Amino acid sequence: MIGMIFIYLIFEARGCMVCHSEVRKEYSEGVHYKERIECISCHGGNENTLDIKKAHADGFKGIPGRRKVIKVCTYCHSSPEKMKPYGLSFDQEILYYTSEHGEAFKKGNDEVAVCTDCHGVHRILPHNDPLSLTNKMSLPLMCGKCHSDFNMMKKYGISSDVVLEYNLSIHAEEVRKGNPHSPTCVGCHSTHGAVPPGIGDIEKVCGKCHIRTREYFLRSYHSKVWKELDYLECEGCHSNHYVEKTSHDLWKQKCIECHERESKSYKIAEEIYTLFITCENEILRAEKLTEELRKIPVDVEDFIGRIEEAKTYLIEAEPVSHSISVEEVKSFIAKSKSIAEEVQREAIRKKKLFESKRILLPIFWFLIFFTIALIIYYRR
Amino acid sequence: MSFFDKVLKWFEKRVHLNELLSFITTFGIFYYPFPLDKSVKESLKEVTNRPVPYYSRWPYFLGILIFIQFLFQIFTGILLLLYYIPSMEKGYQSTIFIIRDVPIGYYILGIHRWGGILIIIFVMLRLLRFIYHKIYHPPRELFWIFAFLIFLLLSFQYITGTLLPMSDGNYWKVERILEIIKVIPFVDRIFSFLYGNFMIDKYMHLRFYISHVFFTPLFLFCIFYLHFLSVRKLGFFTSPKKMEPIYPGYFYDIFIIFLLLTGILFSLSVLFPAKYIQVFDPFKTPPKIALPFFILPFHFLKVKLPDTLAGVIMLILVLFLFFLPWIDRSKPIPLYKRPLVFLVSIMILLFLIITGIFGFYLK
Repeated sequence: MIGMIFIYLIFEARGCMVCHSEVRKEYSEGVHYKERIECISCHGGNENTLDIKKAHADGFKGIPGRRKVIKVCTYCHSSPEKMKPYGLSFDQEILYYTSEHGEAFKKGNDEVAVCTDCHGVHRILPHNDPLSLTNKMSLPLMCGKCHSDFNMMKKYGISSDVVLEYNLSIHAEEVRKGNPHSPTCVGCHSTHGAVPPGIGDIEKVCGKCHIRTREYFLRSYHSKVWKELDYLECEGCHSNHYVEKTSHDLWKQKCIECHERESKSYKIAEEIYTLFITCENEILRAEKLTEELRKIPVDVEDFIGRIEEAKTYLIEAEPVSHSISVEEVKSFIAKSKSIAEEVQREAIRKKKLFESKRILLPIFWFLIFFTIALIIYYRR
Repeated sequence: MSFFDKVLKWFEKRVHLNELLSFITTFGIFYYPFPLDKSVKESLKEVTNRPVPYYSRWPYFLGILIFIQFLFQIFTGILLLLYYIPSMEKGYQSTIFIIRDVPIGYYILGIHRWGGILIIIFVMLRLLRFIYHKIYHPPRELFWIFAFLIFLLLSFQYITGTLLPMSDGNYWKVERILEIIKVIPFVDRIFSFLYGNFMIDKYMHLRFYISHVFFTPLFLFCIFYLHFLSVRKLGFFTSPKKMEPIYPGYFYDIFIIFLLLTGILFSLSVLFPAKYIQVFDPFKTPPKIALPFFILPFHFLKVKLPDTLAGVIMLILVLFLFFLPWIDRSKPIPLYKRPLVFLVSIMILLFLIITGIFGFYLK
């Protein structure tokens, strides 16, 4: 008894925690404990007594099953009065039922994800906590618990490689580097209302971040025709989960899939490819020369700034290329290329100027020998 | 009486010009004592007409060459001092500034850097000559002590100067050298007493800077002065075969040496400029660290042997060389006529060269 009181005083444990000590540690780390949400809020019963029978009376619910758990959570989380002070949204329940998970749940499928599958049971942490299950870094792992399960995914005809593919993508790489703008699963599929984006919506989803690219893509002939043909938009060339870092080789690899090698369209692709590659080479050459000069050392701050400018134009040309218009791409590439070539010319001039110092050597030696000759002559 | 003579007389009445000239001419211009009781003109005439042996010829000019080179270093060093910022952070930028933006800073730094390497080569050649001719035979033991001290101090000048540009290669060179100093008994105590510890931080950098620009040059200057004084006192070692008056013969020879040295330093600084590619990074060791050649044998010993043994060998080697005049008591004749000394010196030399070569190719 004394021990129980001791525990009661030390851990501020209400009646439930005295017996259910296995939950105590887990629960006391969660955000609900910190906000003083008591056990009885979810489980019912009476916490102010240490008598087992009395404690488990008073509308005691026990462990809510998978079907009931949504109701338990939404009792508070769908209530605007309760959520507003925390600045949390209260539309999760509505969103959930619009998702693929919610649709299946309504049809009586018990296997689909419910609140506790993603957020945990007792140890629920806010998503910006690094230890949280729904934190950005651990999110692919969390979704992968089910979506990497081959046997489970087979039933619904979904690929179980999505998380693996995502982890290899440029998006995952950027997330690992700490880029806050790079998307995880929820960036494209949304959180509670998780759905795969359908054809016609893909460019909208990608365009959330790749705004300029979408703008130029919508201008292109592709965007009109592909919609009529039900052809995947961005996904067609860049894949969906396994989005690689694009290289200019994509113009050669992807266009050939639809266009004949001799066709006019493929010629355009080749032309754009050549534009990019030549521009990139010019910039690389300028950078190499600048680096050589920097090692001497010669003042190259100006060159570095201008190479950055050239690179910016090249990067700007990349979204523009989605319009498949040679003229538009050319206007940007020409600027970039001209800067790079100018830097090269000036760098070579500076290098030659520096090397011309060696011409001084023979003159210097001539002077020295002349003086020595004079001395020897006059000493005689 | 010409105007120049009048001015000279005016000064002579007020300043002891003879003593001043005596001090200045100590440094290798006139080896003879300067008469103090006559007028300046008379004493100059007397001294310059005295014949000296052909000391401006190989290998006798090594001593005066080292001193001229030392003056070069002081002159270029003062010019560099005007632009160098002594701090870990700004050191690299100011070095780059000197090379890039300061007029003729490129040549000044190049000459200072190459001068540092050349002067050590000259001092080593001079030490070899000392052993070959046994110049340290009594009463000239101090010649050897001074020469050896100059070598040690110049090596230290080289190490402290290497740190100052704070470039990646130089930083790691000094780091390696400090690791070697750390294993030598007694020397490590003295070093850590003077410089704090063996870690290159901003305080160590500042102490190295002060040593490099003030204390070590001061010591060197004092030793040079003492050395010249003892040369004046004891006279020349070899018996003169061919004599020539100091002026113009000897005087112009020194001038020619000076001119040739300028040409060599200038050419080296233009043809093989120092490359300070990037600022130091204490967390990234570069794959290849090019140590200075006179450190290589010690580097090899330090890497291949246990630390204590290597340290003791290094200390014994240095002490042996330092006390050489008292250890080697043979007659002052050329080396090949003294078989025992010849054998020992060749063995030590070969040991240093071979370990140096191995040290160069060490990974």
